[in-house]
Amino acid sequence: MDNVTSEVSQTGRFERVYYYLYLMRKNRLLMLGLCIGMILFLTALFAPWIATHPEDAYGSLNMKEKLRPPGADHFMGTDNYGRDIFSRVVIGTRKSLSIGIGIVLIALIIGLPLGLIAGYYGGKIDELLMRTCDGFLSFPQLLLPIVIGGVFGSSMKINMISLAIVWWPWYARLVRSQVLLVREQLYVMAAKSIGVKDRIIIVRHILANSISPVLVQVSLDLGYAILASASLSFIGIGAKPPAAEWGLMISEARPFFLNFWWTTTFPGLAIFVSVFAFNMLGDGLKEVLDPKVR
Amino acid sequence: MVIVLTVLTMVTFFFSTIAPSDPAALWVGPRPKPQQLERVREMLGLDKPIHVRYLHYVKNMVHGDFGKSIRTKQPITEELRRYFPATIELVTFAMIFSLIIGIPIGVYTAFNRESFWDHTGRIFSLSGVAVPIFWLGMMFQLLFCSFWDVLPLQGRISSYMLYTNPIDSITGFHLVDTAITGNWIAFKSAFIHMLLPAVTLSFASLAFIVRLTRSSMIEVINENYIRTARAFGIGENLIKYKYAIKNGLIPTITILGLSYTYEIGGSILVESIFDWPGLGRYMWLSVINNDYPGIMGVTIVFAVICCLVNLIADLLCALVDPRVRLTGSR
Repeated sequence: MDNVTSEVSQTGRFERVYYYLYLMRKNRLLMLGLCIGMILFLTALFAPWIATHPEDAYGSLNMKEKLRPPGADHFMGTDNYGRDIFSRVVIGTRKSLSIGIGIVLIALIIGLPLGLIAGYYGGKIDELLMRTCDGFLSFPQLLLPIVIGGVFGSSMKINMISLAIVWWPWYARLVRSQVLLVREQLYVMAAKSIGVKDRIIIVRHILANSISPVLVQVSLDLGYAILASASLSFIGIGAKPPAAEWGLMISEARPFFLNFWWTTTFPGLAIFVSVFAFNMLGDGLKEVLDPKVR
Repeated sequence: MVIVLTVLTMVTFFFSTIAPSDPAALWVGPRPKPQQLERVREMLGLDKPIHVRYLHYVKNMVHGDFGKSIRTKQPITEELRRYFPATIELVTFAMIFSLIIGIPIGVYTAFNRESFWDHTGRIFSLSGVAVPIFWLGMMFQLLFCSFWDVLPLQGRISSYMLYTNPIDSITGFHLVDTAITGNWIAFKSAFIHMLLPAVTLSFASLAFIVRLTRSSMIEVINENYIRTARAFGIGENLIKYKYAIKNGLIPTITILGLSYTYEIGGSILVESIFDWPGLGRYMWLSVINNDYPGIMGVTIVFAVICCLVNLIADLLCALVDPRVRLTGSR
């Protein structure tokens, strides 16, 4: 008897997975986002082999080739130090993706458990946490990172941590609102009434059933985190020259970009395409996972 | 709100005290003499313990004194007062722009779902939040200032305006001042200077508003009371533009505060690109010059603006949505 039920639920689970895969394949937005995302990851992985002049990303100068327009040798032209912009954009993918993933991961590690606890237990912890979140959310997201970066000097690591600090409240709030819905479900009450430990209820029932909007948010935020860190680098906190970072490349080209359009256009396009891809991915995932939108 | 501000001042103050570089050294400049450093330290009060300095700072702040900027050696309060209207004018203009453009697009795409314009609008709103606004601003400059040369590159008003058509400063907002005094030449100059930065700044919230308006309108159209209205045979246009729109716009109004604060954050980027003499550019200059008092001053002013804006937005919500007013929650 036991075997039979477990087998039934197993096939049910597989069918559900197939169903989701089917929905995902059908969703053009998601597939496009997924494809660009994959290309980005592969680019980041094999960056030194894809780049035509990989040494240019690490501070080698080539003044003879200064400010060449896009051509056969330099697909995206060269900057004011004669560095190949294509190679720098390609290698910059590594930095942007890793910092984006870093920010979202740290924010998730802080926000997810706090949201779970606040939502599940409620009461004073909940009140305190939500007020803290409100405090964070009522300010421009870039403000605190700029203050921190302005005070501690520029570094990618500080950048990542300070962005994660302003990012986690979004997750805490999202998870909490989900938990509040799931908490009232019959299966949670059933689990509680037969004396399952809180810890197990939270992980096995509540977390498992409130994770899908979080997944959507994660894929959206990967893009926004890339955008935010590029903005900080653009302001002048974050990556330091001669690093190949998209925001920094645009900022470095500012004094002369009006005469040499390719110096800012391509790094900006790189930011745009990657944020756009993660946006489509998140939007598509939302359609697949959320029956209401579907 | 008071608690938030207190925590914020403490945090920013704490950060500035544990900063790696010495403010006294920055004040004096390169190659300081020890006596000079000592004197500046005393002048800035850096020799006192941290809590004394914090209390001192807060006391001055309440009296409207943010200390002196390390970068310009000027009183920060005065500088901020000068820059404040420029930022508010820019952000408000951008906000109005994104509402005027965003709401009609959102409503239209909601009423014409799955049409060509709906898909275009969707791609537009997806890309709007994905585009880096600092890059967008520079692309606009390339296009409209360098390639076509139809709009001014940067600044708030043409510099010769100050001599030919001087602006009487009443409110500090150039557009308002020139309109009141009937100074239309200066008004035009201020307006065309405003266009690019404002459009750039409004881009992300524009996309957001389009999306939100569309989804909430769609939700409202499927409500029972709309079906009832249809069943009663009320005209489709009346239903759409009288009954549906009223409820469909509520979410858009609730996020006004959020968009406004978002645009204030964006002003740091946009003002630095368009050389707009406002708080955002001041912040940027303070950041790249390690001017802690300046950073703290702008941060606190920004925080106060954001708190006020959120307060106003909440009141506005209560005004338009009786449910909020009556139950106290959404």
